[in-house]
Amino acid sequence: MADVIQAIQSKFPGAILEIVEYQGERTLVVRPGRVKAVLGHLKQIEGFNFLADVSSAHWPEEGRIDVVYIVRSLKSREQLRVRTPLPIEDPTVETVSDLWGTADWLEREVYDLMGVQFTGHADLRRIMLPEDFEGHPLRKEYPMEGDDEWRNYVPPENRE
Amino acid sequence: MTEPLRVEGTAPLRKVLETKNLELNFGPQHPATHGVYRAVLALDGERVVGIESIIGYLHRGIEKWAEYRTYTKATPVFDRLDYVGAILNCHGYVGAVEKLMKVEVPKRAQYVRVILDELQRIANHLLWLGTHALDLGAMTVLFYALREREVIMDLFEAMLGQRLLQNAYPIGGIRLDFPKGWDRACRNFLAEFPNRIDEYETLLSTNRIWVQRTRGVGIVSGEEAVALGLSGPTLRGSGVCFDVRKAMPYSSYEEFDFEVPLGERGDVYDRYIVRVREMRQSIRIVQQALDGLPEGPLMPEKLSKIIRPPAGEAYFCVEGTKGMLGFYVVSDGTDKPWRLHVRAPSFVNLQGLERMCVGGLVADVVANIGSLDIVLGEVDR
Repeated sequence: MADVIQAIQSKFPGAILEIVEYQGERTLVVRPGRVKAVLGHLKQIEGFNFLADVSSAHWPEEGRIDVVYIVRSLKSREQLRVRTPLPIEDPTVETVSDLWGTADWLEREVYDLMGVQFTGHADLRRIMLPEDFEGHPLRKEYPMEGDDEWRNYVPPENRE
Repeated sequence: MTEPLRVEGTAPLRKVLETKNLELNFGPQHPATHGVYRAVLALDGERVVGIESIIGYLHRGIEKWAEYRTYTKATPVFDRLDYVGAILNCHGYVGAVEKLMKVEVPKRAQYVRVILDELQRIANHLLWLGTHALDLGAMTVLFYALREREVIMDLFEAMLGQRLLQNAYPIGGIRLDFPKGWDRACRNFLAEFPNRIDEYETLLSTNRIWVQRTRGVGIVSGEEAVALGLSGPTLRGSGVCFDVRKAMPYSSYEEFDFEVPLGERGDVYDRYIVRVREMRQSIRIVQQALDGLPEGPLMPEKLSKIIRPPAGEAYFCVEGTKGMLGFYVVSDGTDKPWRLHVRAPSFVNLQGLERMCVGGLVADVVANIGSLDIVLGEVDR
């Protein structure tokens, strides 16, 4: 694993912002612009052929949305987490759905619930929620309960 | 393309009667979709040329909901993801929190978890087998499969007080030890069950109608399956050996001797046979766990009543009934999860449906959906 990180560092200097290790898991924090190149390198050169998961987390106070990729090598049984911090004003990152077919729906889910734009994604539509839904519920500012919950709801009889 | 129909002395019919693809709506309320799942099929005659999945009818916002509950209070809701494999969901969630908190689960609790997990796997595969066979017109299997599943449900009820959504494990270990007589009841079931599997196999494995409906249908090669991120029996049916219990052993799975059944061709039949063989392996695991059950505490000694993991993140996977079931927990150091993401194997596996169906017959769509073993509670969360 150490040589994988070394290879990334020499091939993409400055791409890795931080390496976090906790409970036997390794997380690479990667600069948003380089994340696709790093993931492509991991897939094609290092044999991380299985994209297990794409997820996200919203940190409003730090003003960022993290997008998290979990890649796995079925051969060497290694698992690696790649995290990229996106600015809240413009949460945009390149799609990896052309590298792994798995990413298609997983990225659509992140777009739907968290509002992250994946450039180059062929079919970036809502997947869980109806198409006319407003807002992205997994953002922290989205209310869980209270009067605000139905803010965008128009009863069928009042619809145009 | 076939030759245009020609009637003697007239122009070819194709010029007059142009064919176009038929759009067919399938679901969301259809018994063979196993829940509220909708597919729009594009058909050229009997051939499927396109399929679009429409999901989200059962989206309950469980991930958001969990952010507003303490770690302990959030536990029962994950049973509602894959409601026929509830114990494994619970294991995945508490395992992720335990990993984040660096809690060492006592050995006895680990073994008890393995026993209950594997019984749950058998129960899930039985329900899947019965309904999958029913979808393809073999009704008998369902009655047999539910009969055996009932025994497992009774075992769960005796041990956990619930049959379906058990809220099986607290964070740290298990609540109660086995009740009196449970061990014998379980062993009786394990002794009898292999004969029952033989019965199912006589009904299906060599049944000519079954083989014709499933052999060579919905083929996914190993490479395609990996590229699509399939996991669980669906991936192993394509001959790729990836089982979380072997690849990332948790809860002492490395101490048990069991095999990972693999398919060869990656068709519906292989996915069927992999699951049937998995049930036999699960029996072996439960037997070994019952024989080697260590004595000891059920909960760790030092565990505060309020669960407050340190700030950080953890990803924990179990081999769920459908595949790789992952829980990604992000903590900000408070008693509520900051973010909780579930990698639902049904959701990812459902993406593979397009690959399986396109080019096949419309009647095989049902066979393919059945062979994926999806539960819509998990797909939609």
